[in-house]
Amino acid sequence: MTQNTTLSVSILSGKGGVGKTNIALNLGYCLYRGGHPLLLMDCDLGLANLDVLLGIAPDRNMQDLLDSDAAPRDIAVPIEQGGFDFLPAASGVPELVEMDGDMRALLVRKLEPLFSRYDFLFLDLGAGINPTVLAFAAMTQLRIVIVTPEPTSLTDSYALMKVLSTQHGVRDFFVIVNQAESRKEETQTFERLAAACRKFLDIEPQFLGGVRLDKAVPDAVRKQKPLMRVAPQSPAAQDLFSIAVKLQRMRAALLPELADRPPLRALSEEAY
Amino acid sequence: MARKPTDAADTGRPDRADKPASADAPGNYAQLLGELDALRRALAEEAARAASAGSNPDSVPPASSGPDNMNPDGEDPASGPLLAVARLFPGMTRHRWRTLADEHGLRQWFAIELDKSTNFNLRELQKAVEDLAHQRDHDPLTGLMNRRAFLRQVELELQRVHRGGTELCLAMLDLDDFKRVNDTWGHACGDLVLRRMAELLRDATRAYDVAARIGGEEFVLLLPGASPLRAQALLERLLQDLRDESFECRDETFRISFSAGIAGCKGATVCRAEELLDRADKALYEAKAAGKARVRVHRLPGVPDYDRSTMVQSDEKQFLFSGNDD
Repeated sequence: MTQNTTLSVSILSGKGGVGKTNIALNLGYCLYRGGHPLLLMDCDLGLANLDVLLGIAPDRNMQDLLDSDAAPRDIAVPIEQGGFDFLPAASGVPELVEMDGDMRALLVRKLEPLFSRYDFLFLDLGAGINPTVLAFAAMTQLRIVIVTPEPTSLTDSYALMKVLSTQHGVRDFFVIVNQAESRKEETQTFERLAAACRKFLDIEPQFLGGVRLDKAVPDAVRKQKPLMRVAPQSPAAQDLFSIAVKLQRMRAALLPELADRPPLRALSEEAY
Repeated sequence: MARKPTDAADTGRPDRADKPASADAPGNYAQLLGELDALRRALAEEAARAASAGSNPDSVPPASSGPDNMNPDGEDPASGPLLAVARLFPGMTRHRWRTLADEHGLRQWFAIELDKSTNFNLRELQKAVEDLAHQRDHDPLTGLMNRRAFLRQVELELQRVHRGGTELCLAMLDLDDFKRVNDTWGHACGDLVLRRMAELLRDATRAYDVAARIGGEEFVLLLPGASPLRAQALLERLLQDLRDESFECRDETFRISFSAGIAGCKGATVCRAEELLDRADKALYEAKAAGKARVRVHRLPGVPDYDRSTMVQSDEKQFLFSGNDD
């Protein structure tokens, strides 16, 4: 049996509009440029966003996987040649958001053959605390929570972590603080969240890094191109690069553990 | 999974396979299919009973008489009572039956072709039996199901809910100040009101909701697949419809209302029929006590509808905003 070398990471936030998809995309881009084939899954199943950021209008999406005999290889769209691909979600399909456990299991089963060729599997989750978000968050090996200094973002992320830790036994979270105006604000924001987690949830989130508030980011979004491509020297891009380096190191350290685990944890293990 | 809000008939109804053709089958077949379902359940019970009584020397051995079980002397091994159960099959011919029996392995069922006169007499007998059965299960005045049949139906539906993880609601209605109607205008008038109420109940509910009269002026409604909120909306509409009616007896007009109590049962919990009725009754009492002509939903004290352990409390929010231990 081949050993697993794919590290799965879900990127979540609770609150929408905090830059989750953008960060997922650009971190992915960095890792790909660092020589790691990477698959980016848009798991905001009913309200796809990744394709918009990329300026791609794919013919097929994950719904086709469920509806037809389409192979995952046919659904995956290359963002860059040679190992940076993404799996699009559908837009405007409420049923996908309400997917039950059986459907999710089917989706994962169909996707599994695709995973082995990638070093990283990034799941860009939707906002909110619906069952789909929770299920995917519990399935991956790592979780990165994106927060901004805004109090509502903090509360929503906290709520998400509370649900995941109390209801699904998920206790490990990495945190990226996005759009802080200074390093000081970054640290304060993280500390605020971490203190609440320690005090009320008895969990210890880990700081993965911050991405500074940077005009280059919305500019790249409007151009529908990854930031790393259009403005690699911008402060935000440099911050993202540092975080990518950390992820690379983490994967290397985790390889022995990953060896005999599936990239996405079987659903039967989840506390439903 | 995907629910179409406008199509009420599809909402939350599992196990259509339990009654595959009954709902759509033409008249006599629908009735027959329903009876065969009931026969299956009855035989399953008998089998279970016989199995558990197996060690009792006085018990009847499982009915398995037939050519395959006859011993070489030709004596019937089943020494206990033996029954042949027959039912008329209108429209069925000998030839058609033979084909069906072969196709579906029913050769142990024997068919008797009836001549015209026997046919007629047996049809009459069958009709009389059916009428009696209907009377047994239905209230003669309103034609609604009676209490006994209703309870049977509730048990069935509760099993369905538990199996399918769906929900149902039970609503108990009691006409307000009904005694006044009988006392002032006589029982014939009272009966008129009751019949009209039954009509309104029948009109307001979908094909598979069940309405019954379980007391003098007490009605009960079983709403499979409905949440307490939906049931409340339905009952409130019904109440309005009743209040809009103008009744006339002995040249006087009057209006009437009802009070109602609703209790719900959701998939995971095991609900008992009596307990459900009891809770609906409590809610009905509350409705009466609060002034009548209203609908109340029973809330179990201290038991929330969902798991609240994940809810973010105010002290947690306070801490996040200010970082202080207040």
